[in-house]
Amino acid sequence: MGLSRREFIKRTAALTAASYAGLSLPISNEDYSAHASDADSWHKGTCRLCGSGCRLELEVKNGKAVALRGIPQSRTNMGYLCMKGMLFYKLMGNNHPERLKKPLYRARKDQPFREISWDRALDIASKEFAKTVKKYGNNSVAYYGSGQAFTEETYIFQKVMRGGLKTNNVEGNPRLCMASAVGGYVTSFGADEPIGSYSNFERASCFFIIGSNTAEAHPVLFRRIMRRKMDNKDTVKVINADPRVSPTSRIADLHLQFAPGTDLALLNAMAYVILEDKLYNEDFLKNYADFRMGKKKKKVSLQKYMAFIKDYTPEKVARICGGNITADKIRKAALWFAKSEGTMSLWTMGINQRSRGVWANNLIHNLHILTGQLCRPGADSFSLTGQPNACGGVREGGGLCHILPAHRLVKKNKLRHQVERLWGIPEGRIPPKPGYHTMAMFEAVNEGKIKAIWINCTSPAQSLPNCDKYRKGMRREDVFIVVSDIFPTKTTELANLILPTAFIFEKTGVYGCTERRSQLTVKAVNAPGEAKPEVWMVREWALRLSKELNDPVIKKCVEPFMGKEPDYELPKAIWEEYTQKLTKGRDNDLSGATYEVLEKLPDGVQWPAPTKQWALKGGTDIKFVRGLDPLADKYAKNDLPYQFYGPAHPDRKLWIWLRPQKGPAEMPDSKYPFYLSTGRIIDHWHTSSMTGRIIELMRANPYAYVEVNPKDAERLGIKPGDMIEVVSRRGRNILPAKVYVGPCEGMVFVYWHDEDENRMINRVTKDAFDPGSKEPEFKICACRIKRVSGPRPLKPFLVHMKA
Amino acid sequence: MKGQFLRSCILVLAVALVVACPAWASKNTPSSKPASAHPELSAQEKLTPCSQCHKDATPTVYKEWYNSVHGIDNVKCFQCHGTYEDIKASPDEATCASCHNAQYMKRPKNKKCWDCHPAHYFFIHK
Amino acid sequence: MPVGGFVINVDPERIEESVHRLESVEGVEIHGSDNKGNVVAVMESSTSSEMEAMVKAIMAIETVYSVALTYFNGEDEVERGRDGV
Ligand code: SF4
Repeated sequence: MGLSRREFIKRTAALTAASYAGLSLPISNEDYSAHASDADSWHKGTCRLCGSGCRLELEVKNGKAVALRGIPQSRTNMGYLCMKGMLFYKLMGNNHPERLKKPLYRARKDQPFREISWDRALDIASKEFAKTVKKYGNNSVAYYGSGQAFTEETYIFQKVMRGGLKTNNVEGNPRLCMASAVGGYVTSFGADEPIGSYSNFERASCFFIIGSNTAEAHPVLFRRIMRRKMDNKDTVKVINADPRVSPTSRIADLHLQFAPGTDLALLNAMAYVILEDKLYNEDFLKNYADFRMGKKKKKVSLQKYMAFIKDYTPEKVARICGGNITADKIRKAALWFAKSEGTMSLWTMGINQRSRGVWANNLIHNLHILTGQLCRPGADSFSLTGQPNACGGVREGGGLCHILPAHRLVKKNKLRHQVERLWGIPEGRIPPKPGYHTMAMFEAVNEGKIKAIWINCTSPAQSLPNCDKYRKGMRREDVFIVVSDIFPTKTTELANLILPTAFIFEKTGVYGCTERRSQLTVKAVNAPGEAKPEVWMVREWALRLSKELNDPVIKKCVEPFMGKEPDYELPKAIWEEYTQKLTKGRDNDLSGATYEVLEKLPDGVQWPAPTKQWALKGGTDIKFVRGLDPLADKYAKNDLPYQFYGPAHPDRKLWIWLRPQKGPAEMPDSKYPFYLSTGRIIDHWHTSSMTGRIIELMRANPYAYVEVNPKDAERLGIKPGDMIEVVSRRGRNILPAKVYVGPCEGMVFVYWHDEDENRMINRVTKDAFDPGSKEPEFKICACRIKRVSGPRPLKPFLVHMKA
Repeated sequence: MKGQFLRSCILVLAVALVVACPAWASKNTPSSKPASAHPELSAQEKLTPCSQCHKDATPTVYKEWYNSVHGIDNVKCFQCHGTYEDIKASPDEATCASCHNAQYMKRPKNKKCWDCHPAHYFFIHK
Repeated sequence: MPVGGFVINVDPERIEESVHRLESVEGVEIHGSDNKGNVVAVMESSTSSEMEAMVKAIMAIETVYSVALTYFNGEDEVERGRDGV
């Protein structure tokens, strides 16, 4: 009605302002919808494409996603985005023609897929799972989820699996990326997840970056580190320890290029220097630390620790580490680390994806405990998480086989029964034994022990190490596979049933990023075709399962969510149950972080956040510090400023661990003389099924390369662009070569995003894993390389749906 | 000071070179129209990161970028200039807002972002 | 012509007086307030630097605690910028 565009804009301005202040205005909304269609609106949300948790706004015009921009007030990214964050609107709604839009089914994997209705799809999914449970028992079914699913999704999936189907076969890809970090935090500090926050980037005066190519894997966090360094060139030091020189090394004052697998020795040698030069913090040790060793976690003395460390003199370790390491460099690194006003360690997969990943984590924490580089401004032992919701959804939401929501261990009777009570299901419903961890789960698929599996929002056919071995199992005709995703992947190729899901901004839910911060994204555009949010699928599936198995408890699991509209009300109800019931009173208390609170903030809330008031301020910046962490005050046992109340250390101490050097599971030898390591590249995310469909990103990195050190290249007659065969005991790739000082001599490095069979490096990697965290050693195995031809024209490759 | 002046000259020159094609000469052409400035490339050639060619084609610009905060933080050519189908020699300022929204909102309206933050160097102020 | 939506925080004890003074600033429209001191305002100006000046003027009112921008539309300005007008 007679409303000019200008009037309309003014009205929108008023309404937006009012909604921020929680005010209702006497303006009618009448003309709103008429004009809304041709007006722009901006919607707050979180980036989908890494663990940084950048907050952004999506511009919607005529119901179509048209642009993304950073939110300057956000405490995670301060308005900055990387190229992935700028561009992923191109995958939303109808912007991309290849989005999966209809459920697809085939009874056998050698048949083509046919479109079916949702009704049929859910019927099939429930009948197959019910049939399997009846015939082979509850542990013959499994859920394999993702650190990219919303917390609400992981939570409801695991609730139905555990409470409904009575199995702990609940896993997810975070097992492949941060399980060792969890193990490290729990064993060293008694509580999972970092103590501090990103805010330490602007307060640290020494950065110790080991096993992380932050510049490419967390570009917007790297920007903050870079800024800190550039603004304080002489006072802020950056140490980069990595077998490969990466873009991250560009801001380093000191680069420690150690041979793959010698990280534990290097870290112990730094501890040696700290002890020898008396750089440790005596008060801190006395008040807060203990020394432990072995499987039995035996308590030992400082003297014993010193005797243990004696073996790691910088001179000796420099020889073990090879590369460019000298004793002097180790001494310098230790000195900078110990003496700075605040030292922040940062690491990701280089440390976690090791067959001794937990130990490597422990040894980094050791340095912080020894020097007291914790809890004060800029001092932090900070593991960077790869995926946007590995922390929030999977670590905290109960998405792994041994943990229940809110950091409860499955095997602790008291905690398990607590969950059963909170869910209102009979005691004993959740089995006391943890389920299969990821590698065991796919081994069980291989062996035909798991007969039905639901894979959500991830592509294990490409992302598992030694993937050919596990693809064989997934190809079995007697294994029923459901895959829910937005695009075809290497895994949909092996599915019986493909369920098209809504993408971020097409549904509502929470992501919890690296710094314990939960952030909400509310639906802003419609999903294409018949794509649906997962929470809806699980609810409907559970109701049918309940009928098929004649088991009312399954229905009970989704009863609180019945009748809720799936785009907002349903996830909200799930979040409410999770935060108000499950996290209340736990160390990751999120009960103050309701949707209402989250919607008010430009970013989100860091737990612990036991009250709304506290949550509205953003929550807890630094854990364990009295005055800064409400739980530190609540659980204080003495007058000390730090209170390490973590659930795993009843003695409330930080534990310094005696962990010896241990090499990788597979060492280079005469037949396979090279180390092979893998990693990400800035333009692509994981298996590139999304980023490969954004033309700018595809062109920036159209295929995976193998990086070869120039000295090795010269020796083997390899020129840039030559085709190189990379062979291990497990498989082989042929990829173009990049010759440059990235990897150290004797090591090659391959990006892992490429879906092409010839360039899919996980066909070559090794599936050895850490005995504690069960996280595989993607980062090291042995291979040989050979030049097979000169440069060849190559085509980028993506899995497409066969018509 | 002198160095800075020189640098600006080179900059102006470099921009002039890129801009000196018919499509850019006419004042009425909105800058968001694709520039035919870029030499024709085959589909295969288009699978090359911009910087790979521009290292040689426009070495000065490349070096400026590589050593700038954008270069160190891997902000790549296509993020501002688009890709072949929508290349813009001089980007839409709205693109800057993807990351610099706060600054974009309060910038002086009579100036382009790069009038004060010279293109490819991007130091804080000229 | 940029349009901005603002939440202005004023002394809750002196809301009426504040609203009155806010209304006297040219280009400011008041759309509502609550008893906690939140005032919803829409501002219109011919350039965004002008709007900045308005915000400064509002900040100078002693009963005003803070001014927060929640919505901004400057599209015609952007278009003019593009056309070099
Ligand atoms: S850094 Fe990560 S979260 Fe931020 S924009 Fe890039 S991909 Fe998204």
